[in-house]
Amino acid sequence: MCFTVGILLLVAGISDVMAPIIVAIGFIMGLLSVGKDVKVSEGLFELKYGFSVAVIKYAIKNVVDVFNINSLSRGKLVKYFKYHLFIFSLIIALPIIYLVIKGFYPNLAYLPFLFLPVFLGVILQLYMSFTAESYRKLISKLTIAPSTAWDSVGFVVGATYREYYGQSLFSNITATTLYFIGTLLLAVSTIVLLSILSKHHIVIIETSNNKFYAIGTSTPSDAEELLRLILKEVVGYVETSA
Amino acid sequence: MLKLPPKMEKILLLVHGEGLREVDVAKKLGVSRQAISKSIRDGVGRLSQIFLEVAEILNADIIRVNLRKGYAIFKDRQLNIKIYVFYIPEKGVRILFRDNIECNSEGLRSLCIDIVKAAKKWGIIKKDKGKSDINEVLQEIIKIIEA
Repeated sequence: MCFTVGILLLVAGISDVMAPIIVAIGFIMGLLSVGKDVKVSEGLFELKYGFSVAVIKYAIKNVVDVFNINSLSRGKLVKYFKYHLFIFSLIIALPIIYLVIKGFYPNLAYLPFLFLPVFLGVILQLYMSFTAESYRKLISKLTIAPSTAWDSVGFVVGATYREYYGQSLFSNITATTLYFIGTLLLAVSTIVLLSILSKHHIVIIETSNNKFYAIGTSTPSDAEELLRLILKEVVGYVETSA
Repeated sequence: MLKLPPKMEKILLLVHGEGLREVDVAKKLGVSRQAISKSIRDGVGRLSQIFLEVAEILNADIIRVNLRKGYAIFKDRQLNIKIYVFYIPEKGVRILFRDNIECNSEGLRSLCIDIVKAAKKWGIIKKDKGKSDINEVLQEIIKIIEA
């Protein structure tokens, strides 16, 4: 989100100072959200976030429902985390809003940058809406679509740049650099995102005060182990200590 | 033993099934609110142990354990099929394999009736549900717990 806003500010020429600051804030927030440690003690389940030092801590107790949402046949993340859907919609809409407000066509070299948030937002929104087991088959098929789209964006930019600006894309070093960074980011984020979404399993925890927590695990067996740990050490703690 | 003590079970059903407040349950049963809170914590802990034991017996992976509504979903490690486990009040746990979802045979029919009754008591489905075909009601329960 911060990355998108920052890039748009830079592209729009609104603020050269604010853009890197916002991107830096996004980077810091990304580091803060990296899972650091999971601790179970005396019926408390503690989640620690932050790289390289744990900064954010959540203590979870009174668990009433725990499940691997990816293994449920009708599991949808959006049912538990509606707010995220709004964020992803905003990410998709930002480049479009920007173009509408500014009312001009940006330099074609920026096209991969503008396409990046729209594409990532769509993939994340799809994942939020169809988290279930069957979606994993769909997601592998969907890999073809972004790859094709990415190639198409590159092709369109390369083919039409001379037509619009009367010179080759490669004659302008800034445009060439931006174009390559944009396409590289698009390719890398596609690969990373699809690999994460198609392999990782998410464990959802609901507490007695109707709060939901999501924990990402690398494999289904890790998710299973986490479920057992929560049931034995957090929920079962009252029984053994009574 | 895969069953909850009767009083603990009653309190869990009143709070989680019927949605009564702990204070109201305390008044109704003539005990303190703290006693009700403790009973719920212990009941939830005991129920979680029951489901863990069932998972061990069946040699299955755990997918979901809902202690508020008294059910669990497992996956058989060998056959790779879903297993639905329901806690039936006064009777203990009942197991439904994904392949057994049709309630037409005599043996399965009584199991299905027990599960539907339990689903109503735990508040998974509404209490007035039951006029339609039992297979349909069971499918609806599965849909709800799989979402």
